[in-house]
Amino acid sequence: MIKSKATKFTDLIIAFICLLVALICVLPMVNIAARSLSGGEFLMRKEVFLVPKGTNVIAYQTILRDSAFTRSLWWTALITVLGVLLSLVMTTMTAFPLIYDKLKGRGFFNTFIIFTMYFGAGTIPMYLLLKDVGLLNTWPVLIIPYCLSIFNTIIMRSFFYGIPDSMRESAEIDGAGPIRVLVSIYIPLSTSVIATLALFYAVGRWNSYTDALYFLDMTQKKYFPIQLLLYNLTRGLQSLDPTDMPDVIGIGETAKMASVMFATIPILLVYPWLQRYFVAGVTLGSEKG
Amino acid sequence: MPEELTRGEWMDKAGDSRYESRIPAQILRRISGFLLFPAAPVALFLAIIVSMNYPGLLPALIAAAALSFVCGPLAAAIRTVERVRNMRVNGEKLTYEGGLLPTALFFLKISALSVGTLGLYWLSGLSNVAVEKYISSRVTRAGGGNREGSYKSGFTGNFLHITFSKIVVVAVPFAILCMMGLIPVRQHSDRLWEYLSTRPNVTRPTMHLWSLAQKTIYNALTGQPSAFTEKVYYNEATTLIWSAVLLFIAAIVLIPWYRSKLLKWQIENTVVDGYRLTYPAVFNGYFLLIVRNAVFTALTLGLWVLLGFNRASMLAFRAKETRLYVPASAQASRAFYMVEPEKLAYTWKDSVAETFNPVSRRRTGNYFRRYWTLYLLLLTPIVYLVVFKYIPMLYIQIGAKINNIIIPVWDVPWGSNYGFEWFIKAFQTRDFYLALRNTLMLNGLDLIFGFPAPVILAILLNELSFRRFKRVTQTIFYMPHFLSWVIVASLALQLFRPSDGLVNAMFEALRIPTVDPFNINAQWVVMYVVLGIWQGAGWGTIIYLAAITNINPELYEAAVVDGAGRWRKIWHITLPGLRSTIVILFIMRMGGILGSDFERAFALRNAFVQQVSDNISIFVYLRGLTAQQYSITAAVGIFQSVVCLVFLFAANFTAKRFGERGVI
Repeated sequence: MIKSKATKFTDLIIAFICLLVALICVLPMVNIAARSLSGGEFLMRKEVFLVPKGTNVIAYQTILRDSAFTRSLWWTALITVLGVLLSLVMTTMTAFPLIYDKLKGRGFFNTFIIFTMYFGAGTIPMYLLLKDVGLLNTWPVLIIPYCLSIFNTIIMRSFFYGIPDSMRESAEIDGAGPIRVLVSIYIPLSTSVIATLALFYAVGRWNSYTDALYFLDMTQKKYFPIQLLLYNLTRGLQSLDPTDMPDVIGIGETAKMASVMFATIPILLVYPWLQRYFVAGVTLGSEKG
Repeated sequence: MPEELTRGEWMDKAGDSRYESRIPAQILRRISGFLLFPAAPVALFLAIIVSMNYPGLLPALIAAAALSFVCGPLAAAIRTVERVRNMRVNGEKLTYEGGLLPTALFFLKISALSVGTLGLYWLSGLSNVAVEKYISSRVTRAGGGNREGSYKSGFTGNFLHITFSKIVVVAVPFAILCMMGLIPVRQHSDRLWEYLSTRPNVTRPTMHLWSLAQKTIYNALTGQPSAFTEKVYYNEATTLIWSAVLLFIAAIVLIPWYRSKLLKWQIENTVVDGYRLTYPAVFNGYFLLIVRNAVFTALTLGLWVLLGFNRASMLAFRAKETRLYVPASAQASRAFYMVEPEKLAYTWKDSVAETFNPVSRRRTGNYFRRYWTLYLLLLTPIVYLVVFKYIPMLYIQIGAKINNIIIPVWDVPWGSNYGFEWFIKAFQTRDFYLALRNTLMLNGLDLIFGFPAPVILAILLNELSFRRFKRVTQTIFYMPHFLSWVIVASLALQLFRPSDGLVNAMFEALRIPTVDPFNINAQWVVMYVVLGIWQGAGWGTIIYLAAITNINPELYEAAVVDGAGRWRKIWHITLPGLRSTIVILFIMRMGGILGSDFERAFALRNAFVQQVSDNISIFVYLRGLTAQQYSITAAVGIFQSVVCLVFLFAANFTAKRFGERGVI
């Protein structure tokens, strides 16, 4: 199709607007990165905006030397990995049986599962339950109580529905039981949705601080996930270990910026590679919410 | 002398006999069924109990009882006539010549049974009192004095109470109702149904346990093949045996066991004058209860056998008085068995053996053998959901109880105002009022400004014609979604810092007044909404872009041919194509209008702006978890959940009214 001059012009305008929006998305991160890499004295003089001045990595060194921070980083990585594995297993276990038309009680199970998406007891009952069960102020409380997301289960179920029944049935004729069907057919065919859900769960776990805030008290600082630590740091509720702080002007400020970068970069490194998958995942989830 | 018929011939002969059920007959059947057994004894029973307390009501109750005594048999009698008259065999009408005798028989039967039942009840009550007297005579008390004791119910006590009442109030009546035929028992045997459907006058695949018992007795009386001698009946036999076994176990083992546990618990947790009571004679009490229950179970079963016998004799009488119908079909059915002689060799032992032999249960057996792993898979998620989603719903009760942070929720006494105390108090609290207002305000602004943003952005992206640039732009748009609210908040803290924030530096360069949203209420609200758009708009485009790719491209081509420009294409094709997606997402947002985003608001808030920033979830956190006022915050939580649910249903309903697909 031949485009007229006017169309080309509006094309350029639209591209310009998109560029602007993209800049708005990126610039704050650039700003933080520049600040984290700058010398403290330039920060004090309000000269750092998008390009670091007096570039150095002292802030990053400081952060890495701070035992509380690094431990929290590793700890969060650990519970993210554990949590994602548990969540994926749980999600598969929930979604897979529900695709069997023949499953007796399928309607009941569906209702039983989906009802929890629309009606929840709330924070206080959950808190009291965890207190009675004895999970309060222990580390599993960060993994177990929210390990199954019904929304993600629906995404996975929709994906499983997309796999033709005939494959399953032919495997059944060859004598494969449900577990065999799941392991040999469904899981290999759904790596994309598993990757998507792994991303969703990982982002959720990595970014969440609510459960730690609710269910851990201040004496359990060693179990604080990175986001809660960051919240406390940026709010001045908790400070980096002063003995580890090098005697550099404005290091407190740049170190904060560096910690923000640390908490952000792992996810920002991963998500662009999974874009194709999570776009498909979100679309699947919207089909039957 | 029965004729020898082949199966086909029998089918030809019997196939024409049918029963024309009409509405009056059906209604009569129901009414007579109801009046006969449950209504009459219950009315009499009520009459006796109520008249002891309210003598004025006695005549009315006697009238009611008499009504059911007279009307029940009458209805049954009419029904019998009606039933025979509606029968057609080979196109011929049947006649009924039974006269009034059946009515009289019914009357006798009902009177006898009611009196028998009442007598049983009476005896049962007497013996119960006797047992309890015995038990209380064995209770020892350490202290003296006659002051009233107090009873401390703990969790175990509650559990025992609840399960006991479940068994007594739910399970046993359910079993009895099953036996009485008020709750149909689904027949799981296809073979039985296949057989039944070859018989005239059978039209439904469900049967009652009670009718099974009746049929068995009737068949035994009339010398026909019965449940225990005939292969085709083996499922009936199994059902009868198992239900009898289960009822027996429930009646004489489970209930007394529970009851003795309960009594022991009650006694040992009763404190009189500061001393606990002890009960040494558990076994004797238990034994007495077992004996008592066994006796009464036997008596009740005996009554039921009588009832069945009586019913069977009724059927036999009716069959004798009904010309043409029963003799013909009885002959026919005999003949039917004769053509398949191997069935006659079956004894009830064989049927029991078959029940335990999986081959004969191939259908259900195969199903579970093949698919039990599915249930195994579901087991863990179900347990998880029960523990972490459904059991917390039980903890909601704290919202209706007195605030207490030490005693377990179950043992806390109920609050005043019928448990609505905390709801009332919440609405009188200024903080809650502010939280409610802020939640509605922030969500409303999000809806107005934040909802259209992804639509606009998606259309913009769709119009973008440079491929590679588009892909990179999309990736960048999705980025903010992956930042947590803590990070977004610290970004915002940097950007909007009055002294050296990026935004304020730009504003200064552009000669716009600088902002300080972390200190000024109105600016904080604007920042909250803007950051919401910043974080969510790009991610929100995914769904809309997917919907746009589903729009038929021929529409655009046709529009171009008609001379439509870019804006017309957007207005007349893209937007209408997005309509249903927009509606669905709007429903979800409306459903969440009272939901509050804790992470977002809590990360952004501070003490200076708490007038506008504290939504319901922050209220719950600060009041409930920090200040340990569990009751009021749990009540607020229920309020929020219920209102959310109502909003969701309302929005869903509205969307369906406008012809859109709903979400539920």
